[in-house]
Amino acid sequence: MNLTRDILDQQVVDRRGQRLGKVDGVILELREGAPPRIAAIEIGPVAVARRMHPRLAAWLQRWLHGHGPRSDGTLRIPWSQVKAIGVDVRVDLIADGTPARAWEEWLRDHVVRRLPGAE
Amino acid sequence: MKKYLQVTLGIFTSIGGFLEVGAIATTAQAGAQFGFRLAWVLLLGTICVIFLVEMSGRLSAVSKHTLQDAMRERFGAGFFLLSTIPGMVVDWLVLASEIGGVALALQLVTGVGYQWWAFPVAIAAWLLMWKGNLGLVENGTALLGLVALAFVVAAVRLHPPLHDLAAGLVPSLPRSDGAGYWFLAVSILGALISPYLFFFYSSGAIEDQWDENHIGSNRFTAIVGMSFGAVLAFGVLTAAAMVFYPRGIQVDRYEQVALMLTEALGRPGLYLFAGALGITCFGAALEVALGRAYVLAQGFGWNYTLNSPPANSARFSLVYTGMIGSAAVLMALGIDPLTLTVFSMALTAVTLPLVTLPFILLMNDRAYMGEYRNGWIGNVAVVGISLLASLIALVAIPLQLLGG
Amino acid sequence: MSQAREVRGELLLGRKVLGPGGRVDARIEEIVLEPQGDDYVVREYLSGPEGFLEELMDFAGGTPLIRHIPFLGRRIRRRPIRWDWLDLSDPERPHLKHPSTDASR
Repeated sequence: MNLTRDILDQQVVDRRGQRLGKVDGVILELREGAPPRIAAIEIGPVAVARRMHPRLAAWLQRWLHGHGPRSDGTLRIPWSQVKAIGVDVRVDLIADGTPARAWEEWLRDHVVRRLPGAE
Repeated sequence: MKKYLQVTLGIFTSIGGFLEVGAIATTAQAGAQFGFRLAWVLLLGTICVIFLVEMSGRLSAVSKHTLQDAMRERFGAGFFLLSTIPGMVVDWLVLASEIGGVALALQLVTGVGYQWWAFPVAIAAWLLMWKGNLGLVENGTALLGLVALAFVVAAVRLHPPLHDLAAGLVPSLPRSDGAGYWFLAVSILGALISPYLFFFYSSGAIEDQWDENHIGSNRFTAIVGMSFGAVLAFGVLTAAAMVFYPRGIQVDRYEQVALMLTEALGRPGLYLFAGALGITCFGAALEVALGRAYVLAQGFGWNYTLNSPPANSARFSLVYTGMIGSAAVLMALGIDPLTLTVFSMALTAVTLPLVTLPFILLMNDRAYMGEYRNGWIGNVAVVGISLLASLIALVAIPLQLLGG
Repeated sequence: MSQAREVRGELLLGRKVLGPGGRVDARIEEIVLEPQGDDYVVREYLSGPEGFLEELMDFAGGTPLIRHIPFLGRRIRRRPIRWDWLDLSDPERPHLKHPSTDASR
């Protein structure tokens, strides 16, 4: 299995098939005398920004923490909860309430629902 | 059989994506200045779009991923961000032009300035996206867009010399005004082959849940749908070539373009022109706004759909809302729609290779396409189109400065 | 010397690999994983050449684009570096641990 081809940037879907985000980051755990193992995948705009430039990531994180739901939207999913790698990356959790949905839910409640006909 | 009714996605896509303010403006200008001699550019553009639309649809049907999904997954977040940011800016300008097109159509029939129509038009489009679903958007606009057949009717009634039309289908070198000739050629191609078209079509295929069984209907839709748009565009070219060219009339303003229909159709021609212009631009505005919202949602992995209430896809819905609202501001401020159209088409041409080049890889990718990978015809086509797109991208800005 | 416990895979991609004497040898282009029990562990890193084009694409953040260019990309051989031959104690400056004999030679 290859990191870029099979894991990174792939679509993540939750237990119900709802889109959670893309795999924006992969956390490897370094170990003494043993090969590094995948510890977790990470979803979040800060992880994407960091791939462009660390300073951009720092600024984005500050801004996200200072506005809206006050969350930087980063969700770390332990590898044990990754159930399948195929067309999508299926994870064993429900999207609602996770940081990955923080901004979606905040914007839904504070902006979209305020406009007529949103439901 | 129902699958072949999907052709409405194709027809809608071609009405908004193929024939819109940029295409009408450049094609009319081409007919006025060079008669039928640029007809081959229309043909070339049509062939390119047919191939690219078919590939967008096939990619989505087989891989269950949209074009943008596949581009992020294969080329990474960096490519996504770097190609999306300029793409969004360009599409935002195109969106403003389309709103301007609808506003101008309304100005034509009411006499009220286009600036006043900018926000009402944007609100109407927004309501359709907010309250409607993809089916309504596709079918509604495709149906109304049939009014653009007025161009074809007018063209036929003007009895164009078929010999000249056929001769124009063969590529030829300009006899005079070389810079103007090539500038128009590039502009037409830039107007016809628009990235938002492919992103939208591919997203529509996923929203409509296409699969391998749709390969055949996708091909049919691509060919019939885009050809329909091409026939409309040829109608515009012919009408302009018959009405303006013999008299040496330069097409500078939209009011003049309406003349090509009044000559053949009488007074109703004015209203038919306004209807055709307004509806095609309205469809294009929907396609651009939705296309970019789809791109952002797919690139970042958000959930998105037009087929359930906006509260279920807050970020996606707010993107198209924000885009159409802010684009309307440009028109309300009084920026000239025709100037903006020409400018934004040149910019579109510059961003085109970023979309066509990935096709080469994606359509040959075994993991995505399986046995439906491109054959040699498809590959020759996509490589050729990419070379053409790269060439156009290089010369678009210089030509605009020289010949525009 | 405390080893970094966690490292971001997406930042390792495209990173320059230092050879003997701190010379830039190559860039990490891919990380190949294999199952080991319930885990997936790194088997090897695939490295591609360091060159002008690679420097140019540095700004593209992460997934190297060069290998996707149909003719240019195919001809570049990617050298596998076994997991234990890459020292990641400083994740921003990975270097080869056994510089004289490369894994693929």
